[in-house]
Order: sequence, then structure tokens, then C-alpha cells
Amino acid sequence: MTENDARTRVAAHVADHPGVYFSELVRQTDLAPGQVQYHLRKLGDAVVSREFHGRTHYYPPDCDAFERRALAVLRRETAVDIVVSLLRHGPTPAADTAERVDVARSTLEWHLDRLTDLGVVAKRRDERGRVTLVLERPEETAGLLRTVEPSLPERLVDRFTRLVDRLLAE
Amino acid sequence: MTPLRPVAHAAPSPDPALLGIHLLAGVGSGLLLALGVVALGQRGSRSYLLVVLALGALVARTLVSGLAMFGPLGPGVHHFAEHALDAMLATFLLGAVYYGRTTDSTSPTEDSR
Repeated sequence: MTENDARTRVAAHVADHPGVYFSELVRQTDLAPGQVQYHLRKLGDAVVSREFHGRTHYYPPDCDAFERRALAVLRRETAVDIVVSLLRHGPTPAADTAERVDVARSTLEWHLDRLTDLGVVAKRRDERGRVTLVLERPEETAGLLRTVEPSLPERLVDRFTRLVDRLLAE
Repeated sequence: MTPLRPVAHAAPSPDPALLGIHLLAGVGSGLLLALGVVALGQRGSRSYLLVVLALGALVARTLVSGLAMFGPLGPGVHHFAEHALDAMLATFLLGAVYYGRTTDSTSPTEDSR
């Protein structure tokens, strides 16, 4: 594989999987971590990197700021489940969302911390003082759901935390 | 009382089936431990630490019995170590369950209904 091939492959993978992690990029392109790092540097403005909650994500340059934040958080299966539930049922109290998504309250809160921090979900108080979860930009978020495909290790970690949270919450 | 026969799973030359089962147990528990470590990295709670320690004990179980299979560990030590690890595993999991309650109550209970 020539150097150009490798660089094209890195750029193409980022374009197809906006918000991809570095480790995932290494695994999927069959390149060494050093090579990926080198090509990312050489690609310059053709690949944008952003760090959210301690992880670096890579994006094609045409992703706007909201898309970058949303794509970072939607890499987690449970976050997607929460967003889908809110799309389907509209603004919902937190407790009902936990029940609908079938996760422990601690799991929901952990994902909500990220979803609210990145501006995908907002917590609003209704007239009775209950916390209601609302999608900030439902249409845009719905459009992004199809773009994200979490890898098998990501899914397994997500499901592991779901299981452990639920077992410990009993 | 009939004396115990030398324990089959401590034979110095391992039979292939036993070796296969050990490999399976090693890979399986190793994967679980890896998942636990990544999850601990995300959550950083005491409960997750205890779950990781319990999974570590599970991995150590296979390691100990692997060592016994290839010789360096005598059957007595092997037996003791296995049961000690069982005790540790149970203790870690009980601890995780105990602290699970505290972890849960730290999450904001904002929607008081």
C-alpha cells in the first residue's frame, strides 16, 4: 500500500464514520497507530479533530458544531436509545424515560450528563417542578442517527455498564 | 475413609480437553475483565472498581489452575488458592452490591414526584 493509499483510506474512513475514535480508526484501517497519527497530521484541514469528555473524535470538515457534538455522544448505544425514545414520545419525564429505555436510573443520568453537556438533550422543569427531557434539535438529531454505527467493543462496554448498573441498583 | 485420589486437574501433563477448557475460561474471563476495566474508566465509581476486582479474581482462578496444570503449583496450594479466590470474588461482589446503593443516590434525584 502506497502512502497515498493509506492517507486516502484514513480520510475515507473518517468521511464515512464521522466522530470516529482514534483507536477505532487504527483498527478499521489496518494501519499502525503511528501511521494513522502521521496521516492525520498530513491531512491537515481535511480531517477535523475535537475532544469531548476526554476522548478525541475525528470528523470530515463539513460537520458543523452541533453535528460534531451530537455524533460524539451518539456513539453510545444507550444514548441513541434515549434519543430515539424522546423522538418517539416527545418531551418525557426522566423517570418515564428510564422505564421506557429499560435502564437503571444511574445509567440514564450518566448518559444524560453527556447528552445535556453537548446540547443534544435539555432538562426542563414543567409546571409541577418535574424534570422533563427535551431534544434540543429533534430533526437534526434524527437525521444523524443513521450516520452512527457503534463498533462491537463499544456496544459491549455500553451493555456491560447497563447490566452492572441494573444489577447494583436492585 | 478412602484417601483422595491424586486430583485429576492437577496432573503434570495436561490432557487436551482440559487445556481447551482453560483456554476458553481464560479468553472469556479476560474479555470480561477488559470490559470491566473500560467501564471502570468511564464511571470511576467504587462499585465498578469492586466489579473489576471480582473479575480479576476470576481471571486469577484460571491462571492458578493453569499453573497447577503445568507443574509449578502443588495440588495443595492450588486447592487453597482456588477457594481463597472464590472467597475474594464473593467478597468483592458483595462490596459492589453494597456500594451500588450509594452510587445510585449520588445521581441527582431532581424529579421528585
